[in-house]
Amino acid sequence: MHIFANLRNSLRCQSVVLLPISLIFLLLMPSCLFAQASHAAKVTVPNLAVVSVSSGVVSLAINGTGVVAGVDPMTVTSQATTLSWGANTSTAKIAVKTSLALQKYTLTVQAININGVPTSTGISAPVVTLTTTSQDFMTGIGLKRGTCTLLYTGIAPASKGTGTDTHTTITFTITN
Amino acid sequence: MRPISSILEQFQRKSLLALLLICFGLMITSVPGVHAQTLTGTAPTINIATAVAGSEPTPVTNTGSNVKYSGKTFLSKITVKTVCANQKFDLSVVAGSITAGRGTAAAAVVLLNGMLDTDFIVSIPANVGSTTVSLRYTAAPQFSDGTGTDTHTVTYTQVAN
Repeated sequence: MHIFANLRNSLRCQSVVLLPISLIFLLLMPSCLFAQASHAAKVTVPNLAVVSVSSGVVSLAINGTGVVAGVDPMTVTSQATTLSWGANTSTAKIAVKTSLALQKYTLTVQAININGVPTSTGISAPVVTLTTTSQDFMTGIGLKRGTCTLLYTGIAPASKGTGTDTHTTITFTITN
Repeated sequence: MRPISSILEQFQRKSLLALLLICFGLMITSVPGVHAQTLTGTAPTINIATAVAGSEPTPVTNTGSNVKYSGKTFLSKITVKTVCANQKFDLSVVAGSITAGRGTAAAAVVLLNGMLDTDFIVSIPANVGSTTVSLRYTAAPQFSDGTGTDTHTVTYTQVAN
């Protein structure tokens, strides 16, 4: 009986000490922090402004098809090309000009079907008559990227007679 | 002949001492700085320089830094978090290739200011040797984010799995 009493006391004493230790250990173990280290990581984004047009030559021919008798001037349109852009400043805009100084016929261009990301709201795209001086083609494109269709319109009054205007280079310039 | 109670008492003291020693040992190995996990290489600096019209700026990846760790007493893992006031740009990090049996890379972690610790490398076996894994940071800003510089303080923590 004496042995069992001692054994019981021993176990009781042991459990009194071990139980709290075990519990603390079990509680702490899952969140045991072994080591920690930090460093700096920098991301720098400068002004970015990009613009591109789809390849291909735009050819407009007023050849009688679609011409309405008695209506002057005669017009023809093309939507064969597109323009894409991206700009990360709020003031970005796109201007356009042509390399052809002496023009017999009028050529205009306008951005249509504008798809801006994250939004097209605020984008302005007037009809621009092409000259050798840069003119605003799209404004309000800042902090956006997107695409649009280029709507070219050739306008030929009957009084201008026949001929061909070749705009060797039509340049779109994006500024931030 | 010693009474059984005396033997038990002695056993109890020894076992108590042993347990305390084990706990102390575990605590020692759990203190940061002992067998420390470290970051090596060059702290990542990412400059976004190009973009394709119509798409977002071209993402840039930096692999110039590493995390070096070793196995602990228990199965462990490494978590990651960041602090970046006024964060503007998307930044993510993923572990490069890890030697078999030395842990498993979690999916790429998007680093957001104030985020909670997120698993980065998991299932690091106990007592595995020193292991170095490259850190693949990828920045993917958008035009709508504007311009500027984000400075993150990225913290890696090795904890029990």
